[in-house]
Amino acid sequence: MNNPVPCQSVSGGNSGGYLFPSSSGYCNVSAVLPHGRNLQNQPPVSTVPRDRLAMQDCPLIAQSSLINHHPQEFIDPLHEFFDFSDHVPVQNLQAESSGVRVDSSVELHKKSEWQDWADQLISVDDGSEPNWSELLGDSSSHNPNSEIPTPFLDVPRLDITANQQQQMVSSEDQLSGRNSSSSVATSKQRMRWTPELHEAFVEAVNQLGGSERATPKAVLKLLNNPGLTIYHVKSHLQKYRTARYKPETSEVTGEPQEKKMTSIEDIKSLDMKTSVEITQALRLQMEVQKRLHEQLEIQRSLQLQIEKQGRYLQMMFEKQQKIQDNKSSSSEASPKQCNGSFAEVEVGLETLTGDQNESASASRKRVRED
Amino acid sequence: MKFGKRIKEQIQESLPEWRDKFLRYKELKNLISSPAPAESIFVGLLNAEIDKFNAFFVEQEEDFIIHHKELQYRIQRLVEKCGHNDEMFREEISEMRKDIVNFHGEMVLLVNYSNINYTGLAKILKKYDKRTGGGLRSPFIQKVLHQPFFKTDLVSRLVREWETTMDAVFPVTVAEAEGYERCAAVTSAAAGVGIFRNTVAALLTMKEMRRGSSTYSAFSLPPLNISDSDLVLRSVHLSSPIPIP
Repeated sequence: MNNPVPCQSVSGGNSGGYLFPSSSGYCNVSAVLPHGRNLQNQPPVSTVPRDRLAMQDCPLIAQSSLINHHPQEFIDPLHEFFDFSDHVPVQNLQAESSGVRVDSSVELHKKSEWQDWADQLISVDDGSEPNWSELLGDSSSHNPNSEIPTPFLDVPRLDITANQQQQMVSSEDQLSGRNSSSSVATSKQRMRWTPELHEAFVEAVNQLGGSERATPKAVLKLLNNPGLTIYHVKSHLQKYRTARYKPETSEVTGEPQEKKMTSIEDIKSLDMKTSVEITQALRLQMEVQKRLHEQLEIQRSLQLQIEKQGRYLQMMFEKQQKIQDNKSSSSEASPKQCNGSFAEVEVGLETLTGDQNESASASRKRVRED
Repeated sequence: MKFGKRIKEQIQESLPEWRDKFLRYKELKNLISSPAPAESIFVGLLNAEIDKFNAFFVEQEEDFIIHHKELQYRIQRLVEKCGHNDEMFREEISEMRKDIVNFHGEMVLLVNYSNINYTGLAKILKKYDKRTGGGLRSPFIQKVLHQPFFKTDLVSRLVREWETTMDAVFPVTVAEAEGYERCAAVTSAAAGVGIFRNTVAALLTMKEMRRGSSTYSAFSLPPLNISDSDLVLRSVHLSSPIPIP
């Protein structure tokens, strides 16, 4: 993409810049900056010309008067790299669910007034020591008797681990160009659990005598999974205990189940107590839910398709542009050929759109045939 | 304006803890409408929103995974206990059924959450490009496609598993099938609460959003065809004045 880079580097009090690593795929910087403290040592991260710089000149100031002149620094050091999609060779179906997610950790050196919104969303990094060895699954920190001498080896116990390790290693590669004393508080990493990992967790807990007696440290040791930190285990254990010992509250919302039961109570209060009717109400609820899910899946795949086609079209147009440029720069003008190619592209566009509509109606058809 | 209204309605109908986790579509739209929307601010806000989605989604997913397991154990124990004696444990079975359906519903709502936020992002980016003549949308949306909150495969898998389980463990009896008609009135009472209401709202929203618009393009979704479920939806009176707790 040749689009102008949205990231900006601002020389403010801190000579670092804005970093929006979530979007850094199209920012020229793909690496992540560590702690704000280290920013002074970092070169500016963007190649955007100065005249696109920021906050100080932002006319929004006049309008909203909520923005002061001090730039915010968004530092989300490992967010980008713990989200793996294309970068990591997928070894099993669980790959996408097993990534280690990093919580946003943002340094607010200077608060802007209007950032109270952002403030809510952003947690300030506690600035704990970087712990790359732990992140990289250095076995020595967790498992003295580790079966994993290097991050690249598969761990026998969990399929998941291989991917986590790979993912963490990849992130290291991407960051190798920078000062790798990362700021990320390991405790802030978010783990993406899978049913398999959870099963192993439950097994470990049971081995240790149940959820009340098991300690995070012991579970962590048993799991023997370099990607897992004690923080992950601790919070997961807490959730697990809650889920087991408070069956009277709703599983996720935490609301007392009386609220959910209201639907049944309503029915009872209407004097329609037959279990058949209650069951039918549930069945109907289920049907509607199923329908929504169906449609969501279809919609999602359509959206993916649209973006894919959009990218393809863009590529084609750019190619076409190149051809045109070459043609016009060279002395031989062949307008006929140019037009021909353009027509091809247009037909391509129609075809793709047609395909999309076709597949959409095909999907709908499939649904109806259920 | 349509989407803004729709997402607002969705949020109102959604489970209470979820309400502040959705995309702040209106605020972003206002930002775009300002005389010179700064890209850095806009992008910063979007990224913050994405972080919010990711955090919420992954946490919910974790809760679901735990609960999924617990429900499985519960069913196992119940099936063992009942044997073929369904009659004796009618209430427990009914309770179990309700929990499964509600769990299924929550998971579907999470998928819906993911989708509606994605859709909102796509729309707001489109608006931004329109306003600024920029090319922010395409690369940004590519990034979004790789975000954790967009990857709903695991939750969808669990959803389908429970649909199968429901059919297998709680098959429809003849009596139930006949009871369907009488159920309609009952359902309209049940519809006023929590998950069900939210689900129906989501379906209607989706249908509405995908009606042809003035800006229909190659990037737009085709219209939704859920005429079959209209029958289902008609039996639900969403306008019933049952307040959300």
